[in-house]
Amino acid sequence: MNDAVDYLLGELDPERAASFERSLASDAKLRAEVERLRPVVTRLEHLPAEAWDAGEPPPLVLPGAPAPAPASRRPQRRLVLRPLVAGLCALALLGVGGAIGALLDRDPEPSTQLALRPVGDLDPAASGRVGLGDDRLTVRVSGLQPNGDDQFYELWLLGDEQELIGLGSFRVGEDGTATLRLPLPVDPEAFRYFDISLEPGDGDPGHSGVSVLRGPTQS
Amino acid sequence: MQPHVASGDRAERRLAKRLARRDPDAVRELYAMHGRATFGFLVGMLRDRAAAEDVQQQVFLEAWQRAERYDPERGGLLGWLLAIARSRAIDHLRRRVPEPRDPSSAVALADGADDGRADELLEQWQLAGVLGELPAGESDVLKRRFYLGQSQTEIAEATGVPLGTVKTRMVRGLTRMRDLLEDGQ
Repeated sequence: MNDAVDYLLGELDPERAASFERSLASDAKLRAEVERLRPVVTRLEHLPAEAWDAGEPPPLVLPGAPAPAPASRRPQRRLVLRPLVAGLCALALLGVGGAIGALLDRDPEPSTQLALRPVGDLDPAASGRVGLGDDRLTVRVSGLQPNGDDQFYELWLLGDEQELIGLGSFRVGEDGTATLRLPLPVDPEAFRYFDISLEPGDGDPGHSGVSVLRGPTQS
Repeated sequence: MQPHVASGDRAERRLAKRLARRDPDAVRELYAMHGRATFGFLVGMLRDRAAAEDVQQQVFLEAWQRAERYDPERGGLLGWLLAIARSRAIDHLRRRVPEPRDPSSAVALADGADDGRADELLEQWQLAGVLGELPAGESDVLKRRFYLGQSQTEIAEATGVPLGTVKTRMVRGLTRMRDLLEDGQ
């Protein structure tokens, strides 16, 4: 595919371009692939400048709608240090070395940890933890049944009035565990539970009604 | 175990369901996703930013209030929104038509005499909307290649990204756009 794209972009040198064209002439599958991609390249080449640098649209006004929920009600933490203290801290951090840096880089510690407990009899030994950061969450689950080919698990936010927001889907293998790191599109405190459901691969985007783990959104 | 990321199609159907329940946050999400493309289309169509701002509000109010009319089998949300935008823009042009009509003016759109321009704009802004759905790394190489005119080698030099990665992103970006466009996004 790299050669096909280079060819369509005109970035093959003459010798390779000639060789690629010989392949095109003899390979119907390659020819079909190139012809499927060519319209995209042509359309992008003719896209006017304003479409590449579109301005911001005006703010949306929805008459009668409640104000949008804030992205996060968690107060922003601010670290205020005097320069001398900051310098000492920096030296101390440097002294500790790369080990802490590597750990922090691998998995920043979330500010809130919440437990998920089994719902129903499907996975009575399952457990999970949700770590909430300012704008993302980490979920670790274990003891779940491995997914079959046509099923997966889905993480939801569930409200008192059965409002649901899907946060992401995942699969579990033979070890029964999974770790997810996801952005938080809404404030979880506006909902009551984190819920993990077992979903069939039937194309229905709604909740299957089969929950396996659930826990509160607040400690 | 890596999480399986939900497909855009699935996320879009979920958003459509929330829209059908008249969830105002769903229409705000829709606006964040596609408001730029519809507004660009309307500015191009109406050639009047203030009018485009008014019609833009109408488009998303209609999407919110009549979401049950959206049929995912007929295409993606972006295409649906752009179709609403096209209709409302034509309504706007019709309302401001002075009598007698000047057939050479842009208002001829209202009678279908210049549908070609509307279709061209629609196609352009659908493409721009789909570009906005790509991962940042892929849309960046496409923008550098097709807007700034940089070769893949020049992109690698300008960004410090290895040439092989630039080429991978170029292939993925183009094939992803092809798939989205073929799916009627």
